[in-house]
Amino acid sequence: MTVARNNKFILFTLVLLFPILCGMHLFAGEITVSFSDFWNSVLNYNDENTSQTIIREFRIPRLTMGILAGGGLSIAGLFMQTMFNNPLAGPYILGINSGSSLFVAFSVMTGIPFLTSNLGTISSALIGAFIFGLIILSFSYLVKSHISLLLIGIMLGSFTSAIVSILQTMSEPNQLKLFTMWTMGSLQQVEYTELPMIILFFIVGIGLSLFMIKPLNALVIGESQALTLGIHVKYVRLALISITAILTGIITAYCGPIAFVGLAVPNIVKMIFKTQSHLTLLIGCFLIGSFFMLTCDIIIQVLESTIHIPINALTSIIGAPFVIVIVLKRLA
Amino acid sequence: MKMNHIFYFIFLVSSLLSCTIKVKESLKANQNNLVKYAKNFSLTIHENYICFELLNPETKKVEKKFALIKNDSIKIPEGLTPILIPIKSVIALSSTHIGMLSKLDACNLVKGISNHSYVHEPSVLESYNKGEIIEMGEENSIPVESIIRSKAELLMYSGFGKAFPHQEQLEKLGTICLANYDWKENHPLGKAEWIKVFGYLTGKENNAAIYFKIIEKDYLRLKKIASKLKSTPTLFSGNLVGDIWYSPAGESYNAILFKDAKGDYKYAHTKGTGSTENSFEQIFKDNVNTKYWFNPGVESKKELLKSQPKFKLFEAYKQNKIFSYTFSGNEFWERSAIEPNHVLSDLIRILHPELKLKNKLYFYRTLSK
Repeated sequence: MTVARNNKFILFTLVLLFPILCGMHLFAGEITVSFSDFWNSVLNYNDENTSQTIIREFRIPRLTMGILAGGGLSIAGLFMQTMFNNPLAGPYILGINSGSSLFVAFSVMTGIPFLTSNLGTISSALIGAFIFGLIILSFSYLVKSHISLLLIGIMLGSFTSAIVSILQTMSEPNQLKLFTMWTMGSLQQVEYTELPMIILFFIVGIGLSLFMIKPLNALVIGESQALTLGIHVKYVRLALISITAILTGIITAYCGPIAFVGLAVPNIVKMIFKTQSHLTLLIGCFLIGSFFMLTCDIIIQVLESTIHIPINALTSIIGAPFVIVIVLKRLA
Repeated sequence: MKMNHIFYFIFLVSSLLSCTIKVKESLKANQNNLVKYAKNFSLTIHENYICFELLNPETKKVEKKFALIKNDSIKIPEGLTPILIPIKSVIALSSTHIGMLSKLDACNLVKGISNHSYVHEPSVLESYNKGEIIEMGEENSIPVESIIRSKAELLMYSGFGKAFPHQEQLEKLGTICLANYDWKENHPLGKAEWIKVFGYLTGKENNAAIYFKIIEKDYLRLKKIASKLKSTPTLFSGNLVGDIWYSPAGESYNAILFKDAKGDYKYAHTKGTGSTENSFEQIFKDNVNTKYWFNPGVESKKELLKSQPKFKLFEAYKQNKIFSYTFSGNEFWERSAIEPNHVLSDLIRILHPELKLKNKLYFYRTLSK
């Protein structure tokens, strides 16, 4: 598990740039806040001070969610692409986000008290992502064509959309409103006090991912070769689906469905690092995924006084053309 | 040279005369115009008919002209669509239409509605349950067969910027389609003034005029009371949609109500009659200490926090000063347009408890836990 020298340099540069980008994100909002406000908001918080509250309650959670959502979805996308040996795979296109959405829709629109609580929404998103991950995994045994599997993923997405539409027609206006707001996607739903729990989930996901590096590297050379190397492919796939469910579920529960990050970023990372070493790819996905998401959010904040763009829309605007480029490249 | 002078003199005199005639005609039309506050229609009395001009809410140009006639043998000028009054049946697709018909005791004319779950008026619900009223569905997807089956003489719709689907064919079959732009009126009394249209259509124009006079008087009385108060409590309105907060713009219906209730609305200075958009951070900065929060679109603090946990940082949340009309959603939408005096009364009572007004709150309630 070594990282090539050239890639080490790129990773090192990204690590150096990372705090700069975080700083830019923290101070990019419409409202000007000072550096001392930032320090005080963390170390000496005064809830009477509006600037400190803005940093602590708005900007730090938003920054954290930007990092986790970008990094987490990209890693989940990388796993999907390696597992299905398909560069067009990703949690969104394979219907894993749709699974989360469907279960969140059930939880929000049924009106059952536990399900409508925060914990209920998170659990629903995790279960939904896991079940739909298993469904797509089952289909992967039945169909060998990459395109067919993607089509099945898209169909799963259409299927869940249809169910969600039916649920929407039957739900109470307020529940419908809540769900519609959630589908728009936002990095601003999280409170400062919720961050430790979300970070913990994320660390669990990333920690488990580190155990997957060797099996993932083996899977790149093919399933049969991986078997000869002593990799239990079935268990590995199940583990990968579980990690993807944790990462995608927790992000989807708090930020809503975010499109294309999980698909586009792993491809960008592979283009930059030109390696199949999943240690490099994993770190690269985390860093570049976070970079991608934070940059999108900085653009949103800079343009905020002129035009309001939902995060979901911006990731799709940037991500969708990128997918077309990948498809065209493959055809060429 | 002399001839030239004579020619100029004649030209000047004829121009002045034509101008005077035009001004006189315009003055006469204005005197006949029965509308005082509304901007999206005019009603003028002519010898044999009432001219109802529907004005485009954006351009204020005449969109369609109707001649309200009591006898179909009456000759009307070209370009006017005749409506034989009083009408005997109507499809009312908006809650406000039902509210206005209800005030004129004319709900028995309703033959079609969009969706019974949006209706509050008991008599309409009763007729619906008896099968006397047809549910038509959403305005842009109503089956033509349902309209024909209802045999309604008039279809009143909200007209979200376009003509009613199959309008020409429907009019040939005997159902006149009439857009109602009450929802685009900015002045609360302008919205209410649409009752005059319903009055003429149903043959109850006198009742409509009297009713409007009463609410106008009450509205202006309340406004006067509020204007004399010294305190102007701060308030903001609206809620987040995604990451964007939509507040009523400074010249909008809500902003006028807030102003008339002597409230210090944070975005009263903004231009426009629609809404103004802000980031959540900006709204927080502007309103963290604002005293009152109106129209969050939910009924409980629990729902509010579910949609955005950071709402608990607002002073209005901490002091339990969040007010909503959604407790009686259908009733509000039916009655608020025609009872602006009661909406204003609610706002004054909430914003100025020092007045100790004895009347109840008509629509607004504080958010439950």
